[in-house]
Amino acid sequence: MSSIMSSMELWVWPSIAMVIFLGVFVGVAIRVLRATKTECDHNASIPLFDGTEQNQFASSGTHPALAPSQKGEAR
Amino acid sequence: MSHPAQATQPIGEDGATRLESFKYDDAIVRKFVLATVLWGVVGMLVGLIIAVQLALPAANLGLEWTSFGRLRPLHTNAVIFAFAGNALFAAIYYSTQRLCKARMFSDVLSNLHFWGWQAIIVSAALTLPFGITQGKEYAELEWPIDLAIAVVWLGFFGVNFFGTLAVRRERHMYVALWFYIATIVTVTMLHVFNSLAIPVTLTKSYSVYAGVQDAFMQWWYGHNAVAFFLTTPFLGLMYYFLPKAAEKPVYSYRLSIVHFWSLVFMYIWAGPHHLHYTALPAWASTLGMLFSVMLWMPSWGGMINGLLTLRGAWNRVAVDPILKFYVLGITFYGMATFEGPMLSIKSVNALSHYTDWTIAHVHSGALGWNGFMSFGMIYWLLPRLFQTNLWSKKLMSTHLWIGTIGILLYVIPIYTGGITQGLMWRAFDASGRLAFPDFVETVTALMPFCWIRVVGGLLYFVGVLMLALNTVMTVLNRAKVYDEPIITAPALAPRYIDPPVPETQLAGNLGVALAADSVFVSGWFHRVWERKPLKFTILAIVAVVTASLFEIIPTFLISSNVPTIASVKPYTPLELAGREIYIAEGCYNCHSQMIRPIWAETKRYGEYSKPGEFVYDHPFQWGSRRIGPDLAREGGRQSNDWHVRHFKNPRDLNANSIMPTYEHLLNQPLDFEGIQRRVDVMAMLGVPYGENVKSGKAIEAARVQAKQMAEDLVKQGGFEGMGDKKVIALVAYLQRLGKDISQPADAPAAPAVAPTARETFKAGDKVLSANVSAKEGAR
Repeated sequence: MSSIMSSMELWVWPSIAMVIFLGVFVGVAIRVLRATKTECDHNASIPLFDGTEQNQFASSGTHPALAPSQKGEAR
Repeated sequence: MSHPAQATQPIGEDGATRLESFKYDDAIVRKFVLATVLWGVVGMLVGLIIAVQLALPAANLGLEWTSFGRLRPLHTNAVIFAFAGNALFAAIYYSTQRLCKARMFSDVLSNLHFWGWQAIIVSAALTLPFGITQGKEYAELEWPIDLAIAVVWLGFFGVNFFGTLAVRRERHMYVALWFYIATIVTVTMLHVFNSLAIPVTLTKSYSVYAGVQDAFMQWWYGHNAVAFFLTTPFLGLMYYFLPKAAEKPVYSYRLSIVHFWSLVFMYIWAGPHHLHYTALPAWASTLGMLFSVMLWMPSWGGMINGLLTLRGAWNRVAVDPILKFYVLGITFYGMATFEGPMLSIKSVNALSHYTDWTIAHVHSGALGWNGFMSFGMIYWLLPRLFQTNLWSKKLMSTHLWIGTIGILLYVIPIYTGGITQGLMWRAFDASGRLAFPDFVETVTALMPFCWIRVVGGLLYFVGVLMLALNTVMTVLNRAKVYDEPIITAPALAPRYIDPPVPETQLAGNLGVALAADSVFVSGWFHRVWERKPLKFTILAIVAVVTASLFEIIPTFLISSNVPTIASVKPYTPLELAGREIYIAEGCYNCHSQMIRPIWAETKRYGEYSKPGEFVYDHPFQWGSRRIGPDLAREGGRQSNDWHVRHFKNPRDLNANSIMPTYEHLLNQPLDFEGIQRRVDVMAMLGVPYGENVKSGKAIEAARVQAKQMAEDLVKQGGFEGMGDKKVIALVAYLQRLGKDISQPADAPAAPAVAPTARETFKAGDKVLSANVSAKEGAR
């Protein structure tokens, strides 16, 4: 194994690394650029609804886990 | 506005909403919070003590257990793994339950985790001051404790965390959970691979790696311990507790996704920047530098996301000390993560490395980012966990300001001192000679800065005492019986039906584009990962493992990375025993053994260090700091007598030295009987000991060399009766350092009597050049 590795050119390693990095970055970029505002708003608001605030929703009969999150806050 | 998938998802087998009731386990969070405060006081007190010792060596009271070399690892372990560790556990246990809308998977595992971790911390406190250490920075704990860490971290904590994810009632995993996942899997990987060692005794082991490869593994671990123990879990903390305290959602969830993946993917590459200009292959350190510079962007992305979360709430920041803690903590994070990439640039690192500049950088991050984020979280949690008002808001506010002033008084003088130190080391006079040839000149110049640092550290410590007082008083006023609200949340349906994938908008384009778009449309692939813990965890592992392998495989397998040098021989059994004392006393905390190919260094210390010189060093001892001079070529520079007197009291030979006294080494007997076992283990690791491995041979060889050195010592007018004392082994080791490279290739493995004269070293220089050029390839 050591002999095989030693015969390889070193430039191969950073080049492959760069391709992998760019692939990951492009994939993540596509994900975030095409996410909907609705979805982001919901996800960003998850910490604000942990179940302890349920009483405030009792009158509406809506459980906070299923309730709409705050509008217009997250990007 | 609920998640479109969730809105259409039938909940329960009958399609109706089925609510489940449960309680959050806050008892475990209370325990971790109290442990955080306790260990914060202990760890920072030890830090304060060793800061005083740098300015006033006598502050160690002449005790071997309280010397700088032994207490510094205790300080770093206490603040990193005890203080910050318990803080991140408190954060994870509190937030994970609420983000998953589920109680922790197992109360038993929670408690095993808590008590197991505290037992590990106590074990560290009971071993490090006694010199029981592996001698690798931030990974000093010996193998039984290392095994315990693996069990507690992954077996108790990891299983409990992932079990909670498995039983969660919130479909989407919030971004804080991603950071926790990355923390758990990466720390496991780092800890296991860096700690691979062969036990010699219950309290001693040798790293399976040697020299360059050990250094690479250590700083792959060391840097990423900062990344995945002090950064990612605290970013998770920020993404949860900052929105909670500000009562506003995070500024940009999109940015948090980019932040996570780019940080996790890039951080793991950056370790080699700790080894610029050392014997590490240049390609590896350059790669580390490039990724470190790129790392600036995701780091600042996170900082910006944190600070902008407070948009529209800055009026509250003005009156809320908790938000101020967060703002200052995130700001320090931003400063530290700007400075880190800057220090990783080779030309900057040439000046900063080994100086106090690095210490200032570390403390701006640790005191500002980790400290203040933890304090903000604790102050926010105390009233909620103990169900009473915080005892004193005024004291909390005072803590904030005294802590801030303390940080500034701590780091600013060390920045100044560090740069002064670096410039003095490389200063030349008009005739081309070192302007400050006596190393101690560069030490005494820093004394005023050391004292200001003590004041800064004292102020910060007083702030921590205020936190402790506030915590104790709040706990004393706690509710008699805790109200444990029953939470109800709908269970997740056992089977999840994905909403239809949005249709492509690329109609009419090339087939390849259409195919790609069917995969990537709306980033659907990632959206699915975000609700699948196993898949997400595997991908996080792939991200960190890929990066690691691209650096580790070439370093370990390409032979030209570590060219061998024919004249480099294993340490003699006595020198090996001395090396163990060097490690036990923590000498690496103040002395490096790595001369960089920089003119000022070769002028001061001699020929630069070669990778092939360290092939038998299990573990490597390159160090990361020069409170004292480099020792890579110490062999033959001073007489045996000088060394023994220097250990007895350094100030007898150099009035301005700040080195602790090591008189105990002149009195304590050397364990000759244990040497055989040590040589055997080294042989097992591939060190070619030959005849010495035979039973009893190593002990006999050690006794012969010790006897000869002791006689030589007496001839020089030195102390009598040193032949069976620890000091003789340590002196034998020091006299060997850096000498092999100047010996002919066919020289015997060790001199019969340790060399004593400076002339020996100078004479060797003539052999050195030819020897190296013949045996070592270009770096």
